[in-house]
Amino acid sequence: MSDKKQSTILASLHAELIADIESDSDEGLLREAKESGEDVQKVADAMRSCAREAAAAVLRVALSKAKAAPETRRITLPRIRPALEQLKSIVTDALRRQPDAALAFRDGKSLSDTDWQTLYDDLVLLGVITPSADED
Amino acid sequence: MANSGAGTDVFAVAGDIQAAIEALSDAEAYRLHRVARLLIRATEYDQPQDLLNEVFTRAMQAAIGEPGRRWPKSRVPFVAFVIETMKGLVNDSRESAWVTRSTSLEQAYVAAEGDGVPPGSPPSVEEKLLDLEARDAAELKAGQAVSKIEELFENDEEVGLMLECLKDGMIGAAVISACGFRDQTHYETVRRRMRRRIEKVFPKGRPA
Repeated sequence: MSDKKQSTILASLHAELIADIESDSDEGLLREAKESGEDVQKVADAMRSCAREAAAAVLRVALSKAKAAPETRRITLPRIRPALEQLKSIVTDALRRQPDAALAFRDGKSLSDTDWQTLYDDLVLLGVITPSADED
Repeated sequence: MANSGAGTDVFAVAGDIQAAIEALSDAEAYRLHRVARLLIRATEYDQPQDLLNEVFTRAMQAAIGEPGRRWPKSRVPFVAFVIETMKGLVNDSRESAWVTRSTSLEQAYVAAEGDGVPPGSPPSVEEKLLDLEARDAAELKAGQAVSKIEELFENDEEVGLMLECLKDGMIGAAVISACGFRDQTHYETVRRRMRRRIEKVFPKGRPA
C-alpha cells in the first residue's frame, strides 16, 4: 500500500485525465461529444467569442490609456534646433498645413527669436512638427 | 511583425493573437474547452470560460508589451500554448493559496521562538489549528475521491492496475512496464477508458 498523500495521488490522476484529452484525436473528441449529446459548434463558438472578447478588451484598455496619456510623454524635444531662419520657415509651413495649431501663434511678425524657438518646441510637442534626424 | 526575445524565439504581437483565435477550428476550440473544464476543479475559476478569458487576456497583454504570458509563436503551436498557459494559471492559483498559508505559519513560528514579532498579525493558535484541520479535511476528502474512483473500476483489471501504479507515483513508461501493457497505444487506450468513465460519472472532472 502506498504511503503517498491522497491529494498527490488525486493530482496525478487528474493530470492523466488532462493528458488524455490532449492526446486524443480531433475525431475521437468530436465522436465523444456526439455520443454525450454535446453541441460542439455551440461550445466552440462560445469559446472563440470569449477569446475574441478578452483580446479586444485588452486592446480597448490600452487604447484608452494611450489617449489619456499626455502627448508630451511620448515626444521628446530635439537637443539641437535648426538654424533660426530654417526654424521660422518650418513653423510657418507647419501652421499653413495645420491651421488648428495656430492657436499658439500670435503675430509672426512681432515674435522674438526666443518666441519662434518656443513656438517650434510647442509644435514639436503637439506632434505638428517632426524633427529631422540631424536635429536630435 | 513580431517581437523577438531570448534565443531564437519569435513572440506574437496583437495581430498574431487575433489571427490565431480566428483560425481555431471547432475541434481545437472544443478541445480547449474540455481541458479548461477539467483544469478548473479546485481552483478559483467557476467556469471554463473564466480560465480561458484569463489566458487570452494575459496573452494579449504580453503581445502589446505589458506583463503577461508571451506566445513563442515560432516554436509552440497556439493550442499547445493556450493549454500550457491554462495549466500555469491553475498552478499559480493553487500555489498562491498555499504560499499565503505557509508564510503565515512560518511567521507564527518566528514569533513563538521570541526572536521578535513579525509585522502584521500572525495567525493565532486557533487559526493554526484550523489550518491544519482544513488540510486534514482536504486529505480525507481526497482519499474518499480516490476510493470512489477505484470502486468505479472494480471490474476493469487494466484500469485497476493503472490506478495502483499512479498511487505508487509512476507515470508514462514506468506504468506501461509495471502494468504489462504492450506499448504506448495500449496505455493510452486504457487511460482513455478510465477518463471517459470518470467524466461520465463525475461530469465536473473528478470527485473532490
